Parts: sequence; C-alpha cells; structure tokens
Amino acid sequence: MKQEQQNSSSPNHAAKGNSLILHTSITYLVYIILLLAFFLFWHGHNAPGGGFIAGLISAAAIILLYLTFGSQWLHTTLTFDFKYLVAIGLSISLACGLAAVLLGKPFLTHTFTVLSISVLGEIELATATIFDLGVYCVVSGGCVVAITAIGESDRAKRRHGQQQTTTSDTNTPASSEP
Amino acid sequence: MSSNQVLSPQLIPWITAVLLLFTYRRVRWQRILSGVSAIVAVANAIYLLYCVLTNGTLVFWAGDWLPPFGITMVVDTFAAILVLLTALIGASCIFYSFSHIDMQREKYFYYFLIQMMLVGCNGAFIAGDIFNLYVWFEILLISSYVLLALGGEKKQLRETLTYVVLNVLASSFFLVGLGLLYAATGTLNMADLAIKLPQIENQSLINLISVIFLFVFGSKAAIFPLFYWLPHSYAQPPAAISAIFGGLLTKVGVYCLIRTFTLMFIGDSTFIYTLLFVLGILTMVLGGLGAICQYQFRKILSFHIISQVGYMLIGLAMHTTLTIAAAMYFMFHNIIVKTSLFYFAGATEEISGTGDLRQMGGLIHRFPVLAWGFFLGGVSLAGVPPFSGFFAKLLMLQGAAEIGQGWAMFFILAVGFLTLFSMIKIFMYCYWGQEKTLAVISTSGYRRKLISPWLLVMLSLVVGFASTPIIEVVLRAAAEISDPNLYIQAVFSKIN
Repeated sequence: MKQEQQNSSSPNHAAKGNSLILHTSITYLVYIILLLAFFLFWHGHNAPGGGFIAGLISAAAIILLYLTFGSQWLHTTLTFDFKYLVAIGLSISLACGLAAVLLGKPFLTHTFTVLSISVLGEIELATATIFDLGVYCVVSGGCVVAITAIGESDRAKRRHGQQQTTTSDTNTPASSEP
Repeated sequence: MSSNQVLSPQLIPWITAVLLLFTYRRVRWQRILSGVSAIVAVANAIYLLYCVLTNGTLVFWAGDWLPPFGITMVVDTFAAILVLLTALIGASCIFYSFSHIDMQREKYFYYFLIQMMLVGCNGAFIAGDIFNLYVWFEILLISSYVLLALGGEKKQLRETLTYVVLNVLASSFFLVGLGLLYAATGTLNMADLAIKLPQIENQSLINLISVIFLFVFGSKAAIFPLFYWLPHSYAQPPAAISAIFGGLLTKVGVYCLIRTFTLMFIGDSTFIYTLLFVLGILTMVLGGLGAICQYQFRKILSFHIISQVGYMLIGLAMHTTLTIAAAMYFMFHNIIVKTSLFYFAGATEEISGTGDLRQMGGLIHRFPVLAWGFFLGGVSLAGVPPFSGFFAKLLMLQGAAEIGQGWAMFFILAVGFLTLFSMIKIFMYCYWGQEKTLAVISTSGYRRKLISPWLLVMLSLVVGFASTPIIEVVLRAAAEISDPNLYIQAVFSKIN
C-alpha cells in the first residue's frame, strides 16, 4: 500500500508502473483502433457498424492511452474538454432533426442520394450519416468523460487519504463507506 | 394530421439542455437560459392544449414512417394537460432553484439535468409506442438518479442506492414485459397492440403480462406494496428536487397505468380491475397511516404522495368515465399542490435549520406569509372547498356513488380525514403556538422562495373556482381515454 501511495504522488506513476511492451505497442495500436472506428463509422447505418459502435471504439482507444500513460499525460496532451464533445454531438444530431422541420417534413426525416464517381463507383450519401456523426461524438465524449471522472475521483480520494494522517487507514477498502 | 407541433414540448427542453451543456461553466447563463426556456415551454404547452381542444388528437410519425412500424407520438387531451402541468412545474422548480440551490450543484449540470428530466416526462406522456415509452422512462430515471445523488451527502447516497436498485429492477421487468408482449403480438405500437391484444386466444397470458406492467408502473408510481423506497429517498435531496420528484415522477407512473389499462389491457377486465381496486385502497390507507407516525416534515408529505396515488388508482379501478375523470382531476390537483407543499417545506427547513417538527414552533409570528401559504396548500390537499382538492374528491365520490361502490366512498372520506389530520399536525407543530428559541437560523431570501409555491397555491384556488370548465375538459379527456377506438383511429389516420 505504501509503495503504491508513493507512486501515485509522482507525476507520471502510470508510465512507470506499466510494462514497456504495453507502452511501446500502444503508440501503434491506437492508430489501428481508430482506423477500425473510422471504418465502422462509414460502414454505417444500413449495415453493422455506425456512430454508436465507432464512438465506443474511439473511446476505447483514448481510454487505453489514459491507462497506459496516466491522467497527467491525458490532461497535458488532450487539453480538449470532452464534455463539449457531448454537447457538440447532441447539437449535430438535433440540428439534423430540426433541418427536416425547417423543410416542412416531420422531425428526423432522412433522405439519401446515390453519387456515381468514375473511379470509386456508386456511393450512397445519406443524411443519416450526419445524425450518426452526432451519435459518434456523444458516445465517444460521454465514455471518456465517465471513465476519466471515475479515475479522477479515485485519485482525489487517495490524495485526500494521504493528506489526513499516515496513521489513519482511510485508504483501506474496509473503512471506505459502504 | 402529422405535425411537428406534437414534438415541441420535448424539443424546447432538449434544445435548452444542449445549450446548457455548452455554457456549463457559467451559472449566470445557465439561469437565464433555463428561465427563458421555462417560460417558452409554458406558453407552448398552453398553445398545444388549445390546438388539441380545437382539432382533436394530434399524431406525429417520426421520419414519416407509418405505424405500426415507425415511431408515433400522440397527444390527446389527457397528455396535453399533463404536458402543460409538466411545463408549469418545471418552470416553478427552475425559478425556485435560483434562490434555493447552492452554487456547487448549479455548476454541476443541475439545470441540464432538470431539462433532461422534463424531456423524459414529456416523452413518456406523448409516446405512442411502448418501447419508446421505456426509452423516455430511462431518460427520466437516469436524470433523476443523478439529481438525487448530486451533492453526495452520506444520507443522500444511501437513499439513492435504494432508489436506483429498485428502479433498475423495475426497468428490467419492463423489458421482460416488452419481450413477452412482442412475442405474443409481434408489435409494440400501442394503438396496434390495442387492436391485436383482444384477438389473442390465450387471455391468461395477457393477464400475466399486464401484471408485469402493473408491477413496473406500480413501483414507479409507489403503490402498495412497492412504495417503501419513496418516503426516504424523497426526503433527502434539496427541496426543489424532491418537489419536482414528488409532483411529477410518481404521476408519470400513474399516467402509464391509466394509459395501458384503458387502452391495451382491457380484455379480461374483472381480474385486473379488482386487483387495482384492492391495491388502491391499501395504498390510500397505508400511505395516510404511515404519515401519522412521522415527525419529519418532508416524510409526512412523501407518505401523502403515496396515499394520493391510491385515490388515482381506485379511480382507474372503477373504470367509468366519471371515475377516470376524477382520477385525472386528482392527478392535476395533486401535481400542483404537492409541489407547492414541498417548496414550503424547503423554505421552512431552511429557516429553522431542521426537518423535525418537534423542534420547530411558532414560525407564524415572524413568517406569516409562509405559514398561511402552507395552510392553504394543506387544506387544499385535504380537500376543503373552494380549493381544487375538494372538487377532485367530489368527482370521485360522485363516480363511486354512480356505480354503488360504498366501500370506495367510505375510504375516500376516511383517508381525507387522515390527510387533514397530518396537515393540521404540521401546521400546529411548526407554525402555530409559542415561538421556540431554537427556530430561525437563516432568513436570507426567503421571500423570493415563496413566490413559486404561492403561485401554485393560487393556481389550485383558480382550478377550484373555475372547476366547471376544467371539469368539462377533464371529462372530455376521460371520454377519449374510455374509448380506445378514438386513439387507434388517430394513429392510423394516415393509412386509411
């Protein structure tokens, strides 16, 4: 326990604590994971895939980074507030629905068109993709916010426990609130 | 006629919620946005009610997908009135919160959560598809979990845990019920279910499903024997939150009971209506008795929520147009009065620094506006003319007399006395008598806090005085509810 506490007080304890293999491989893996998310997103709304699952996978990538390099790293590198990502996603989806209202159609009416481009063949462009983009933002943002919030509260509690006294065992699970 | 107007009561809080997320660091903006949106929502709900009263039931087919495949939203008179009340209560809660909720909560998405809860409430009232109803319920419940736990006091967390566990259990049964329903009929559209359920041969299966739904909605509406979570969890959070919970959330459960048991589960009616009747009587009596032995201000009020849900339930159980109208009138009256009483309780607790009646006393000498406001709300709840509570009970008694339900009449009157007793008890302990030295901890801003509850009490008085036109509207809503064909025709009007 004491060892762990000392570790937690140093700025990049997670980087020290984790294995070198994880540390090295993650820098490459993250791109692959994000690529998979990208693929699933475009594979899209008519087939297995879409915004929700792509959002989950992207969030997984970010959370993996968080686990490997620690929250310090996350806060200094990704300074973006993910709560705004949720807000942006919600507004994209909402705007997508409201656009139909402005055109005099029922809320959330979607449409699509098929473009044929010589090299790529036929491509289906659907407004549902825009809605899906909103879902993607909400899911990925929401997951990252939730996971980091849980991690932060744990760290805050540990720091709090350290500050009190060294003799009191506020850190042990037995004395934590049921 | 499909119209986006049906969706407007949801879109307003939804758009507000998104804007509130963008401005979550600025409390000032949060207040301005919430306040403006609350007023717009009330105006919109009044207009929607007006449209429904002139044009009849409005239906919305999402994305132009037709029933039974697409999602439908239906606003009939009953739903429109409830949407209006949701907007009113939401507005009163938001304005009350300005002077009541601490900065810490305001910074932590308080107004956002209130708006999301309103989205969920409105969604549940206008959903025309039972799976959609489940989704709105979840939106409502998730916001309510966070609102209950917000602040993280020890007691609060303990009660939130009970609340969450019970509601998650009920929600999973909801899903089980939906699965069975879908397996039996192959549809989840409520109008379509209303057509298909009576055609099923095995009606005892339908009875089983209906009991599952009774359990689900009953535990949200806090009927006997599923009410044990309510008094404790509603007494813990700040008064603004427990007011909107006590006023609205249980009524969403009651609304779902009324909707499903008049539209869908009407095949083998005697069994289910007898069950509802017995449970209703027990809920009334035990809620009233539970309140008597309490000395915590808000716990007494919470037990009376339960007792009043019993009234609505027996109104539904007697299932004539008049008793259903009475149950609706009771709901509307209860939403208004109960919320105002919770606000008065919050203001009183803040002044005296305690929720225990025995430690208060004589507040009427220094705070007459507060004390008389509570008194008026209390007698309205107990059913003294000319307040709305009297007409609610009168309608219920008329309905019971019409079909010769002597027991129902007896219990309606007897539980009325219990209510009066509890209200007078609070009044005597807390406001009347000698002023105690301990009382009066903080009086800052207490006048502003009284605006919302006083307006609601006045509304109760207006509803009482204008009872003739209001009863007409309610009778119309009940007539619509009693005839499922109207609902079915409205939903399928585009196909035929």
